[in-house]
Amino acid sequence: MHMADAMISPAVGATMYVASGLVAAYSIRKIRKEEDFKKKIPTMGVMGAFVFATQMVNFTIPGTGSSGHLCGGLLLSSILGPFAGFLSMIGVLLIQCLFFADGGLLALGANVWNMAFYGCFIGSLIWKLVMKKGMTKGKIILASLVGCVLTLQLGAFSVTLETLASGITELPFGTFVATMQPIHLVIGLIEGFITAAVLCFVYEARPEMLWNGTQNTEKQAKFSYKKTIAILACLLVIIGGGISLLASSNPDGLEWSIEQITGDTGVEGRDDAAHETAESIQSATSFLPDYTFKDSEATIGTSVSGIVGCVITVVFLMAIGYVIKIKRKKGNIVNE
Amino acid sequence: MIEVKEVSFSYNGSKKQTLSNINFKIEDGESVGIIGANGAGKSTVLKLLVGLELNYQGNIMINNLKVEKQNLQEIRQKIGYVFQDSDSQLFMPTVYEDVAFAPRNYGFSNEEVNERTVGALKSIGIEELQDRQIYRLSGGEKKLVSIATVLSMKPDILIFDEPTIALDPKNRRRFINVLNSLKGTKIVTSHDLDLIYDTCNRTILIADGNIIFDGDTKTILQNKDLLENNGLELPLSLQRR
Amino acid sequence: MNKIDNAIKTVHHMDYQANHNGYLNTIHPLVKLLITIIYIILLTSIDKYNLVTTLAMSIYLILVSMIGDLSIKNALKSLKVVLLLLLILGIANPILDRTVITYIGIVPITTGIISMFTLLLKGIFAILASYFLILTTSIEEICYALKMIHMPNILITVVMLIYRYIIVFLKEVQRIWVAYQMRAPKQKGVHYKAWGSLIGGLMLRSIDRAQVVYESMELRGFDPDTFFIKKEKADKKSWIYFCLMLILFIILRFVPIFEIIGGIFI
Repeated sequence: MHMADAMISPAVGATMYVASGLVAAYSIRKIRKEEDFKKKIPTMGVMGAFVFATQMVNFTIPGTGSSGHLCGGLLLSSILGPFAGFLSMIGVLLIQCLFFADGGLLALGANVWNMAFYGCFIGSLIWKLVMKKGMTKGKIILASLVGCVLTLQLGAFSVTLETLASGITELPFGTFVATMQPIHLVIGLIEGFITAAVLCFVYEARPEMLWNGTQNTEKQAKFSYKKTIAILACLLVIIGGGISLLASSNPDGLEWSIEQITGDTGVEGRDDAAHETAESIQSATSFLPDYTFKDSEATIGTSVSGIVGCVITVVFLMAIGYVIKIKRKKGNIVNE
Repeated sequence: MIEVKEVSFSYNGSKKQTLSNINFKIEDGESVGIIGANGAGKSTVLKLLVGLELNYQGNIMINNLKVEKQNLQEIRQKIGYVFQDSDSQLFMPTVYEDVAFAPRNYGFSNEEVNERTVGALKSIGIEELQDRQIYRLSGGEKKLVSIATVLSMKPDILIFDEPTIALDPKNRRRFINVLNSLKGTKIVTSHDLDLIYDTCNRTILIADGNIIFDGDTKTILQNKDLLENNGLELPLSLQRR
Repeated sequence: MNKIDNAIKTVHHMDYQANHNGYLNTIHPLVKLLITIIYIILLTSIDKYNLVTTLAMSIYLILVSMIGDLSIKNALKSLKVVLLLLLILGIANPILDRTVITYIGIVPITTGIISMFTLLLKGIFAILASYFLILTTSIEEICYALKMIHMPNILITVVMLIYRYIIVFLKEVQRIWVAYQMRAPKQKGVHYKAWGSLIGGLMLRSIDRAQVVYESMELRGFDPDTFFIKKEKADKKSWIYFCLMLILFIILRFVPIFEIIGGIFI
């Protein structure tokens, strides 16, 4: 699922940008070391466009009237390997957010993380584990199903966390998770079957196309995986830290939902250092304190006049725009 | 000058020899057609000339440079290769960017790049397409732009792989006129024997990886039996109706 | 499949607009990109109960659509999906956050209702802002701007290639779908027995195409470290535009300008 800009606060958006950016930088470094690196670039582009186009295809799900779609992270990395697959997905997501309003500029970092990172890295980790002792059709189906379901679950869970940390919904954590996960379980299964069907076809037609998890030199690949996991762990700590920091500055976000579930308010915890830092960051970033509806009775008056003022200005501007448009049209007629 | 001496080649992992013991020599300024049935090895010859496949036996020399890894950059700058599928050849978003791709990558200054780009477009009369998006071009326009993308390198040798395959008669005629107006060595592969007849004075016929005929175009294109034995037909312009 | 047709139309429309010679098209892409990002950040950082400031941010969009003579008609289609998504998220707010702050007639206005509206407006405004960016800026220009903020060449090349081949593949998928549908007229989607062969076949073809693209690049001396787009640095006009927009943002976001205007009338 693509997150929209409005679902995310700038701080969470920035955190996710940093996380995705680090993985991208690392992937580029890895790609550059590969032997056929120059050939990978056009392949990444063309395969990205391929994934983009196939996402538009409806697949009829047997026994139901509905249809499923392809997402592509695992598909790409099963051909290109995780690093090239990840970079290719970034390209796809960037174009989707710019041209098709799927996602947004601010949420791009989060979307890359939720879809490309899990899809490509976790997906290919599973792929590699399953294919350890050679490839068979059954293994391809297994890896596709497990990979798609798991990566989509992780993605959906991240969406939940990011949205709650941004504090834009009153939806309690439990309810949110309970809606997101089962929906994505179904989506993941369908995607898994489609991916499996496609990869099995490729396996029968041209098995040498499929990524076997070793790439060029086996030693390097093994070593790099350890590194990848280490980096992953670091990133998780950073993100976890970031989110908890945000959560503490946002009482109605994550903490509020945790409070709902556990019944523990955690009031004492709010005096701690992290909270103070967050508070000071927040007061530093907002030059003027926000005047809001919630603050007090007195602000309601100013807010109402604010809305009135806004409406007047908008109407005024639109009237000007309308006049300009008519004039332009007239001008065109005269010119012609 | 192109010299191909005792060249044999088979693709990775394949036991079948795609080319076996091929010999020919092309002098500067010649126009040569390479004809043959599907899978005869025409495209392979072209790929060997520009070093897209390097594991061959024998000797290929381009302007007295052997086709091998360390000479590739120099050789490729001298050869313009126009692919069969324009959509794959043209990978940049706009015409200008695609034509400017090669000179930029060969490290010319911005002024030089611009001069070469505009020059290449002008030389085949399509400078008005400069700012167009590639995907908005018609098939004929794409083919002409493909030529411009290699002309901007100012190559000595031009190679065309099945150039007229998706062109309508009018665009085909335009293409032939452009081709004939270009200077330098030209190599054209095609099943369109009328095209070969109109553009090349020498023709090489390849079948099963061997050169069956190498000589005057008119001679071979009138040899009905030889052509038909190799999956080809007399060009329409030479058929008696 | 309607989606494919729509996607092709969208790309065509965007491209046509972006290469159109409006005033905003002459502004440097980096300036437009930065302005859009700043706008979205300022917009999404507004407090969830602050409906007035959120509304005020619409002034920028109105101004831009006036300056650039842009229509939002095409944006509305893509808005539908996002609005639905935000509505699902936002609908919980009026239910769970029920502090009544005032009444309009007898209808109670709760904080939850306010925050839901704020969320929806933010969603619409953010999308329109990026939509206006892409309407006035071509993909090459955006790539150039990304290059200027140090996005790696490899990624930019990949983005450009994806964009270049989107239409090629969409049209191919469209042809495949027409061919499929003519022989299976009653199916709304691809039958599961054809999942693998249909997409798999296309996938193999795209791998082959990638090979030819690679060869074509290679023969023309492809060097992943050179970046290839003609473009000049931002001119004075663009920076003036940048500064003016920035001032506008600061006024809209941090000065209660509308309370002042409204105050005159009430």
